[in-house]
Amino acid sequence: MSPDVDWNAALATVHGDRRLLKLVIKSFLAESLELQNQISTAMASEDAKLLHRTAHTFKGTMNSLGAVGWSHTARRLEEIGATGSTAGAQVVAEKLNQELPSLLEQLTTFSEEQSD
Amino acid sequence: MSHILVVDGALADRTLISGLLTNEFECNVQTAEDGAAALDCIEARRPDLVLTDLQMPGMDGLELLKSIRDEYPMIPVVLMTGKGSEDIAANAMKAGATSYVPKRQMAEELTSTVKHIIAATEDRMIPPHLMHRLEYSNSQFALSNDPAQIMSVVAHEQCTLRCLPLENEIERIRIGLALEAALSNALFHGNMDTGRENSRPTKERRNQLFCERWNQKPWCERRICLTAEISRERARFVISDGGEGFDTSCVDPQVMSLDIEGGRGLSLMYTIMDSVTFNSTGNEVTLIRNRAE
Repeated sequence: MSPDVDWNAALATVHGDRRLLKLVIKSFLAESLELQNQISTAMASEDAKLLHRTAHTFKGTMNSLGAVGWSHTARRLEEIGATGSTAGAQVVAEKLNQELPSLLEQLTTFSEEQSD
Repeated sequence: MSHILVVDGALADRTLISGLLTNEFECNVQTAEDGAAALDCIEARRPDLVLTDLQMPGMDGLELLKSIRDEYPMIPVVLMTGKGSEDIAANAMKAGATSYVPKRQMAEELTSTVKHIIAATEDRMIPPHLMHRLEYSNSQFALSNDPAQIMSVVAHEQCTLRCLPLENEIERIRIGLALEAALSNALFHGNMDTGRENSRPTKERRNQLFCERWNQKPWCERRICLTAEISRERARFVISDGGEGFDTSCVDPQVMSLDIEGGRGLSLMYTIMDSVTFNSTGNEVTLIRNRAE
């Protein structure tokens, strides 16, 4: 079962400004595919630095958006990248790819529910 | 209107930071996604402040900081630090970053930090050249538990600090931030008993306790005492509060992390000042900063 976004935490990040939260979500939705591609590139080229940096970005934004349940997987990838190797990262990257759609769905639903 | 440059590799973070800043005060925010793009922006239009992430593609935050310190030493640089970046952030503070804001505390700390630095750079109340003629100043304050008084006294001391030869103007602002951190600790963790650095509550809880206690005994009777001695050789600040103090043996400056749950104030003091010492009971701290070599 997928975790739920903690909307109270997400709103605290933006001082309760739903308009701003919607903008942050839109930005994340716009860049998430690129971030996933960067992780794939990092795996293919065994680029631990890129893996570390991209997973760090994923984790940070997920935490800002109250998506703590998803950020644990990103943190695990970040930790692997920090070792200077991508060994063992494939399984975790696949887990992240499996988990992401449910987060993106919740974020999209929230975003669509907010008036402009 | 202040012009702020936000540098972050993540679009969502750039959106968040820009929104938090423009919601809180009148400023113009420009964004860049990495260090090289940031330098292009600075060359085109010099910002009043640069707010940068550390981990970015290409030129990262530490390299950007060093470039700005070399090329534009008057521009304050504030770091945004994430968990896992503490070591790089500590190096960046030593390399001359003006301050830092943990990304997890962005909503709580960002705008107050930026406002303080912008205000310090705009300080024009007393002609700067007059303060350059000052040989020695010794002032003593008994402050009530009012955050506004802290801001005022820091502004006053920052102005006086112009007589102390420092590497550059940014150092004067940094010393002001360290002094503000010490005074805020004395107010909230000392006089108001809202929890010491090693057991610090959230800022929301801290403010709630402050509202409950500021006009109640014994808290309302306590004062923050500041002795500020500034000469052309050094600045020495002694700050004491009326609280019970804390166990200073738990403070190890060698392992001060920039992203610990509490302790941003202590981190600022240790990274900016030449000497930080506590009395045996932990309710008095002495900060010393010597003139530049």
